[in-house]
Amino acid sequence: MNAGDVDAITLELLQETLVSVVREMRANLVATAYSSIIHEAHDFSCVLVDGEGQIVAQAEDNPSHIFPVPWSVREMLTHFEGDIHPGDVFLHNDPYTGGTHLNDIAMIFPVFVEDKLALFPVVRAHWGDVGGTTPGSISGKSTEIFHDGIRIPILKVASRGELVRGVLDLMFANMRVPRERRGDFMSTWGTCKVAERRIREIASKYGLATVRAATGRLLDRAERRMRARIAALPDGEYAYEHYLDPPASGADPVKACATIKVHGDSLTVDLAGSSAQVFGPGNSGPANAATGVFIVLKTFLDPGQPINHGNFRPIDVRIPEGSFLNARYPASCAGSSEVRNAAISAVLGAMGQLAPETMAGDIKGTSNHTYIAGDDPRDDEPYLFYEYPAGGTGATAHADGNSAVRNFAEGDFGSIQPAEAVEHTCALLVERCEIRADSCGAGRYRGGFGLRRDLRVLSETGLLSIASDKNVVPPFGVMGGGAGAPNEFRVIRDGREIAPSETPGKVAGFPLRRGDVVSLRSSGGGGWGDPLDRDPDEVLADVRDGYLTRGMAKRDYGVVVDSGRVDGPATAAARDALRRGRQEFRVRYEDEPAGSAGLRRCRLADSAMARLSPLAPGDLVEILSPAGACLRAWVDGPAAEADAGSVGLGRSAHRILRAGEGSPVRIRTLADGAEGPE
Amino acid sequence: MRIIGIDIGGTFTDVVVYDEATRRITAAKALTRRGDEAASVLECLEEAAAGAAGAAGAAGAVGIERVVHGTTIGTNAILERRGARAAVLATRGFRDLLEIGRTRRMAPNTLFDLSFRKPAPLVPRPLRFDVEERVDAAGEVLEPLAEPALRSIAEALARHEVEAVAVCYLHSYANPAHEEATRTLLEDALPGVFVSPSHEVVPEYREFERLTTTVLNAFIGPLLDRYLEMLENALRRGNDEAKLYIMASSGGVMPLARARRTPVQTVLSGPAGGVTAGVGAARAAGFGGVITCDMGGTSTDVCLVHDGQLRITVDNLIGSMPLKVPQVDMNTVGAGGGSVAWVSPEGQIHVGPRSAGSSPGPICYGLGGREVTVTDANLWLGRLAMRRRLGGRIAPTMERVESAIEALARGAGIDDTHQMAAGVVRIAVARMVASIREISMSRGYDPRECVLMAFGGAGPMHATTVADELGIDRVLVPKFPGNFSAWGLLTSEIRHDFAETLLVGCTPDTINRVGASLAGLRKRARERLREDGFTDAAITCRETLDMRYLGQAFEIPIPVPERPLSAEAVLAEFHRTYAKLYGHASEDQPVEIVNARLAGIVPARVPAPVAEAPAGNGGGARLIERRRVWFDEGIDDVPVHDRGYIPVDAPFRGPAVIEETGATTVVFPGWSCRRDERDTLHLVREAPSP
Repeated sequence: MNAGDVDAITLELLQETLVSVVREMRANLVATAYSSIIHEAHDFSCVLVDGEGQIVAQAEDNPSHIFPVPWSVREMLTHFEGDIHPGDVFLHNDPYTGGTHLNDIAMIFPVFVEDKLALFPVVRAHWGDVGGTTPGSISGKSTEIFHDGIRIPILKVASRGELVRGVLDLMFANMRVPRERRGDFMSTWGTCKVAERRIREIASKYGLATVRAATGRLLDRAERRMRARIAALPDGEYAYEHYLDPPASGADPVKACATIKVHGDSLTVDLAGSSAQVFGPGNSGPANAATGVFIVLKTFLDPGQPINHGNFRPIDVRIPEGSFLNARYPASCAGSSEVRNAAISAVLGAMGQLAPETMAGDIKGTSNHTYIAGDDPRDDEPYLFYEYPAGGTGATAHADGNSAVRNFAEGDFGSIQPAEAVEHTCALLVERCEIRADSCGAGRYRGGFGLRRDLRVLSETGLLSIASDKNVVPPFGVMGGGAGAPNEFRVIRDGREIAPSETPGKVAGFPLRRGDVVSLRSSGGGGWGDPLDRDPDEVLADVRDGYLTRGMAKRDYGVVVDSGRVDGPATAAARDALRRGRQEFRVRYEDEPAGSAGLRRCRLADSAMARLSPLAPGDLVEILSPAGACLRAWVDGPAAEADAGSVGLGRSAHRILRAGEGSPVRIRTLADGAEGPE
Repeated sequence: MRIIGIDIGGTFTDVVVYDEATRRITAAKALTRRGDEAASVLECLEEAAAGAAGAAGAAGAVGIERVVHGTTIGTNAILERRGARAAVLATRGFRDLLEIGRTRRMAPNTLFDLSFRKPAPLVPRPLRFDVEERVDAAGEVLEPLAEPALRSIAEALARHEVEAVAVCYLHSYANPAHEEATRTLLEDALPGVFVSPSHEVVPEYREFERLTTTVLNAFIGPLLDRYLEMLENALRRGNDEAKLYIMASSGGVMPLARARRTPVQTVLSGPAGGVTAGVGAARAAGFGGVITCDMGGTSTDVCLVHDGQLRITVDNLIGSMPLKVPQVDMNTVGAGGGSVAWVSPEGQIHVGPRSAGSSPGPICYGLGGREVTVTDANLWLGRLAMRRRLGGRIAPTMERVESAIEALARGAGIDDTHQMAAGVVRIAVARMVASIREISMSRGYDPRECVLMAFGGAGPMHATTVADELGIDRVLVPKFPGNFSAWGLLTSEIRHDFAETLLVGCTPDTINRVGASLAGLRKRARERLREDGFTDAAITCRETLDMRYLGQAFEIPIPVPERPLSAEAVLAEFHRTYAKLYGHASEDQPVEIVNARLAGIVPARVPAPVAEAPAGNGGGARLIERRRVWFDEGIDDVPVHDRGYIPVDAPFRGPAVIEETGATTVVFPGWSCRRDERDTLHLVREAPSP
């Protein structure tokens, strides 16, 4: 057998072996890391990358760094070409050249076999704090990169096995709790060394040439598989637009546009039309939106197979420079996970038109980063609480969503800590951890419910920071299903609820007092199908379990529950009334109205606004789409009364609604989707 | 007097009897009756009694001293969700904890899956109750238990006809008073209902894991209670002195009464017997470092034991729920004799995780199976014979096996059926090897320093291939490899585990607190073993501390160094173990002790088996046949031996095949084989590992 030739069986053995190296790396890092987001949330990736920066092996536990890792390696290869030696260690976190938020620090570790560069084990992990404005580094109000912490362009921190002390000291001096950060650094380094040992064993057993030939074959095979799946899709263009919350008080929502073009066995995803970078944390370098795009394509086309670079070859992702999805210096990039999620929701909406049978309601759209910092009176030491509560997942064509659980785009790791651990390490009392009633998106199948978690502050004072999204524009429903309740953060002081920020979901250092209760409420998942088609007994079951109040059962589903039973005649009447109250309009295409930030506008006559109950220009409505996800639009007006039976929409809405001129569409206000009991 | 081990598996119930008078060991098998497992056990017992009586030559003179039983009833009840109607009582605000947990999916391969559905919680919401009470992290009562409100909950439980109640309050590991008071009140108000307070099941912090384990305990409590009571009554008939012990997942056994109170300790105990026996057999053969490889029809359980001590973990999952009871630390991989080989449309060869099971089974069973399994591949390679199972129907079945392998080879672009079959075996082996790597190299242990102990129906056939991949030079195949789990029941020690959460630094100031905790645990262990009828002289205690660097989330178990206890010695042991596991240690960093653990142990007293010379044979080998066997090096005409007739301490070189009831051992070219005086086969690599 030639060294370059690999038989099918050796190929399987090597694939299994390379993935097992990654699993060993993961186990090592989880067991030794100091940052809770590494060992609890597993917000890190271990990857093997080849000499050209291509992913060779990855265990699929956490998808959020799929693109950032090879991006960082290529950045390193560009800067240190000819100056890479055994024992060198590189760090990188710069978002503009492929990083995520500054907390995610990549370690790149070249492994040599007989003087030849074999592979790079790479670990990208979220360190608990990298400096910046607020404890934990991420907050809802940073506006430039300097607020986010210390920025590390590609940097050599060990040379031929020797740590460069001055560089590391400088780095740790700019982070909070440097002892823990050193711990994270050491565990990452140890993890790379474990990988090095294993790669050398593999190379000495099979020969480096065979390993290289095998990795080439594995990439080709993944490419072929992806091409076959794409070729099975109908050629054409599919589009959706998705909105993030306003980045600051008074600002407009932020738009993420996705157009999928299927041509033969390849596919382009173009994010053109998306909003410009924002004056807030919700920006990112180019790698995160690409990751979001890939997560959705992988989910629809090739779930259950290992990820390697071959998967990416048939896919071309275009991200306009200067948009919030591919921002320029010095934009803050603290909200990289919200950016990734925005790409996920936009591509999900477009992909749903291609494969409606697989489509599901929308998800929470954010990490819900929540930090509480203060001084613990038990030992006068500072504490830092950090959680990122999961929400409900979207309903599908066959089943309800799941409540308060990690969704399809997230690794399977805890988003909340044990209350008993929190109370040991923080001056906080966890008073409630419950399913959040009425938070699901209604539908023939309903979305999952979010959770509510209440924490009482026991320290004299505290600081609350939150970076979240979908606090204003909630997760969408599909095929007529309703929106999930938005994420919501409140402080309960002296029995009264107050908002910790005038911009919902964006909080930086809100001052807390002893006795305050911080209430985290995560979003519900989007619903699927018409809620009036839901079996009344299923609605009753949710009411009996206390997940749904009777008021919501009646308002959303037209189901009247009385003394623990469904009142049949009253339900029939209520459903009939709800159906009759629905507002249909004919589509009237207009030239795209020039509006601020390119938000989707819909023009309605005054009488039409009145029919839709109290609506005013600037209000958000949902235009239900038979093609899947509903279209969000802001009321523009007024149109002439002659057009009272129609809705004026920009021509590009055609691509989303797939409705011709004059076709009927239903419009509803957000409140009759789902948002709190009456 | 006799000691009997009975192990219920999914397909077979195995029994092994040790007769103290004759020092003879006999083994038998019966089909398991699903849903009526007690009947299978009694059937086996009767058969064993009859057989033993016959051997003794005096009817009725049968004394049974001890029956050790391994049961999967609890495990199956959980997996099939056939348990009691259970309720949960939680601290106010936490009744949904069972459903929310840590917000994990707790299921493999669910990333990128939009259609994933989380299983419903074992206890529905109307049976989960908030209780007014609160204790803080220091164990101080912030709000007393509201007994009147609890009484009305008890009434609701009665209305719902609840059979079992899990009580889990926050910080009950630090102060169990509210859980104790709740138990007293409920047992009074609801006679006959199984009440399980969490501090009794898992007296450790982290409420979700404690809750799920307690709920599982309550869920299977009434079922196990009825089963064990029936078994005990049946056993006591005619055997007043016989004592019944139950296998726990920790690899130790517990008296019946204990099993009835914390039945959750039996869950996932299935593979524990084999591991225990494997360690014992390796030790008897002079080896302290052993990797056990128990390959059955659907899966393979692997376990690494270093220094002759079983490693115990408390981080387990069952049915998407954390199960925090001590369990032998092992890995299970879905590759066994029945694993199905298939080729994806892209030409990728897969083996498993799907298994043909026992119905339809591999093609060669002739029961309608049509897909190539690992067993079929071995048959086609000549490593396995069908003669014993299928008698005269070999030829047509062989044709079916051949054409199925041909079809598979076409799909994979391989032109030789033997190469294809060998590939199927190697891929199955690769999955086992990956699973062994995870428990060895990734935990800092070098597999080359271990022997491989192979058992289970399919283990001895693949053992040297596994060993080649890992660079292991010696494979051991014990006596009764096909009944080895039942044998393990006889050799398991009696064991009780105790733990206390400390969460203190490891400093000279705190070490006395740690010592006091260990002393308290030792006292409890002795009291409990005395209740079981053992004297202090028979009891040994094994102490460990769960430790981590301050700020980390996961702790590693550190054996407690010799007395007097010093922080310095404990720290040194921690840094040393940590560096071995993870490649580096930070000796300047503060260290935290999370839990103190203590196992109270009474060793079993069963001697090692002896290789018996078969009667009427001059001690020479008996050749069953010679047959053509396919190896990587080519096809060879290979002798097939009957294991019982292989002379002791007379090594011979491979290739060879060794057959016995329930298992086949393949000695590959380059390996030699010796049967030792304890009836263990030693397969030794002739050339040093590649």
